[in-house]
Parts: sequence; C-alpha cells; structure tokens
Amino acid sequence: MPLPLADRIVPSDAVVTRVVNGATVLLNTDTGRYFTLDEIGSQAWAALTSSPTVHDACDRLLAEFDVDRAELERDIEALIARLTEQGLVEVARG
Amino acid sequence: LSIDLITAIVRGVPGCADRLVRTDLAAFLNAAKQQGMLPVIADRLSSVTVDSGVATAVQAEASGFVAADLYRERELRRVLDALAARGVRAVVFKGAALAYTHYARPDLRPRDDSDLLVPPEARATAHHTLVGLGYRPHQHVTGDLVSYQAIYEKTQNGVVLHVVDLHWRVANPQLFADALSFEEIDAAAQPIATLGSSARGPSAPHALFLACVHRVAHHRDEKLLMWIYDIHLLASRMTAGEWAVFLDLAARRKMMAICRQGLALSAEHFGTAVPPQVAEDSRYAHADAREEPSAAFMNRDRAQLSTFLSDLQALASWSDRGRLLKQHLCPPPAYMRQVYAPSSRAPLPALYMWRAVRGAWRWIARA
Repeated sequence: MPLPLADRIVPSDAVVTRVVNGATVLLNTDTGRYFTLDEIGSQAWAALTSSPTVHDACDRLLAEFDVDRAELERDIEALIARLTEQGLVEVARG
Repeated sequence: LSIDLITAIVRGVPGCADRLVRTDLAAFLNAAKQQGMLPVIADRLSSVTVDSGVATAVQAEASGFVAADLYRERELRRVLDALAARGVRAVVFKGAALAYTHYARPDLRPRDDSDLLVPPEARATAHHTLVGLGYRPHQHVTGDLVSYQAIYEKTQNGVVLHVVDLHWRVANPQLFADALSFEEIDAAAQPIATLGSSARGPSAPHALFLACVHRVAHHRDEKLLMWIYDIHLLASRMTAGEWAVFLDLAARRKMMAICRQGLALSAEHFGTAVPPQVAEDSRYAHADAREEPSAAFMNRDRAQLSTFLSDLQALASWSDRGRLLKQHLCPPPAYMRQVYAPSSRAPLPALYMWRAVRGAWRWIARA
C-alpha cells in the first residue's frame, strides 16, 4: 500500500490509549489485544492522529527528528500498515 | 524483608536498586503483587538506574496492568454515563476513585472492581441499568440487613472484563453501615473529570475516613500495603480545613482509634507526616479504643460470630434483630439451590441443615 499522504489517520472507535513514561499503550477493546509504542512510535502516533493529513504528520516529524523524508515516509508507511492490520486506525480518504 | 524493600523503593530510599539485585527477585515480585504495589514499584524503578535483568522482569510483570485498566476505564465511563442518563446519582469510591484522584496514573492502583455508591432508593434502577449494559449480577445472600452491596460482572468470551461493586451503604457490618451516608458523601463529592462529566468521588476528608475504616470493617484489619499507601497519599495532600473535617467526623462517629491506627501504619511504612494540629488534637491523641465499639474490629483473629453479635447490638429494634437472624439462617430457596446444590436435587431442608452446620463452624472459627 503506497503511503496515503493526502489522507487522514483516525483512531478506531475500539481503541483506547494511555501514555506511560513516554511510551503509548494502545488497547483494541474489540480484540482485547494491546500494543506498546516506544517513545519515537508514540510521537509518530501523536502526529498521525492529530494532523489533518499524513503529509502534515510527516512534516511535523521531520521538524522533530534528524531523518530524511524518504526514510521517514518508509517508516510511517510500515507503521500505518501495522496499525491498520491490527484494527487500531482507519484511513479516512482525503 | 520484601515488605521493607517495597516501602523503601516507594519512599525513594537510596541504594534500593542495589538491594534488589541481591534479593530473591521472584519472591519480591510475588510480594509486591500480593501487596497491590507492583505497578507503583514498576513505575518507581522506571525512573532510576537498575540492573537491566531486574528492570525487564519487573516491567514484564507489570505490563498487563495498563491494558486491563484501559478497558476498565472505558467500561466505567459507560456505566457512569448510563446511570446518569437514568437519573441515578452515583459516587465512585474506594480504589476506583483514588486511582484517578491520588495516583499519577489510574493503572498504578490495582483493583478487582469499581466500587460505586448509589442512594438506597436508586438500587433497582442501577440494577436494571447494569443489566442493560450486559452485566450479570452475582448470586449473593439476599436480605436487606445482611448485605448492602451487590456485584455485577461483565464478561466476553469467558474473560471477566469489568466488575462493578454496587453499594447503597458504605459497609456491611451494621456498626459501619452508616459511618457515612450517601447523602453526606454526595453533598461533598468532587468531580473526576477523566471519567466523564457525571463522574464524582468523595471529598478528601471523606475518602481518608473511608480508607481508614474500610480496611478494618471489610477486611478484618488486614494490613495490605496498597490500602495503607492509599491512606498515605490522601493524608499527604490534606489541607488544614480538610483535616478538621476528618477529625470531627472520626470523633462524631466514634471511629477515631481506627483512623489513628490507619495513619500510624501509614507513617510506619511510608513516612506519612501527620500535622501537629492533628497529632495534638486531644480527640486524636487520647482516642480510647475501649470507648469506641468500632475499635473491636481492629483484630485479625476476630470471629465472624463477634461481627454478627455486633450487628445485633447495633440494630435499633428487636424486630430488626429478628429479621437479621432469619435472613442469615434462612436465605431464599433460589439462593440455597444455586449456591449449595446447583446440579443436584437435594431436598431444601437438607441444604438449610448443611448451611447451618458449615456456617456455625465458620462463624465460631477465628481467622
């Protein structure tokens, strides 16, 4: 799946989250499975779920991390794929 | 040794990380879990340099607490919203409230259930609301003088997701049942914003009073660190005005000895500083357990029969005493069938006889 730059990432209704010492715990209440994002993953989660588009989220993360855009977009694409696969987010078409 | 190390870690005593490396880690973790302190220990250790093997083991033991709490929080919000929508004024109390009002994160305060207090007259509406949300009531001894609480459980695929302990009085022993009425707690209740616009918990003086009393009245004076730590957190944030309300309440209800013992345990384990205005108050300093019937409950070996006799004494009329005796001896047939012979056709008189014999032994036996 190509990175949906113009789309928006929306947390699933079934997901509840809590930040614990910089990490973010995500619980899918439908499946009962939970996941922990480390500090970098937590910042990506925060940027993705609070930005109007994936592109904007990448811009925010580029400003925070010393990384080139291509590498960041690859990581974000993998993260979105994993989050979608686990029913944690939905991609709202932009 | 483990108890000492747990409290030392919580208090931030230097050198604890080194002591942990030298200790039997499995025994320590087991003790921390049993004392309800594992999440707090894991949280404390996350901010100090500690052996990586120890850190990994502690975090692994504690990792499930956050996820379990996230589910519990979501359910509790639903329950509170639904009760409010049906016009039920509920107050979240005990650990379920303190988790949000006095702990850095709610998952740091382990709890098996969410305790809710509702007005006695709202009990039926609360029952129907919970059942409508998919909760199943536990079978319990019925009788308006035997128990002032009912447990409701929500399960999914055989897994218990959330348990609500619905109370319409604060404790079951008659001596403590009216220690604080719903009206008193409700009038001073404070919002708990994280749990929604309708969520409220007891005021600080009421919460401290309940924390001191609950451990003794409901748990036979069990000195679980988690309950003592609750007292520490509450006492550490009280204002002078709140201490005054607390002292008046404890003196008026003749439960000062119990409250003083709770604060003494808190000071012993967590270094709680009781302000001079409290320590020097004659009602506190000279509280005499012999003048307070409630103080008899400060005894781990207390037999259940003593509690029953205390219940009889605390009731106002002989008709109530007779009713309590009957409710204990002869619960309804449906309850007897479900608890004592769910899959047999044993005659009811035999079940009542069996209950009487077994109950007599349990009531006389000491803890």
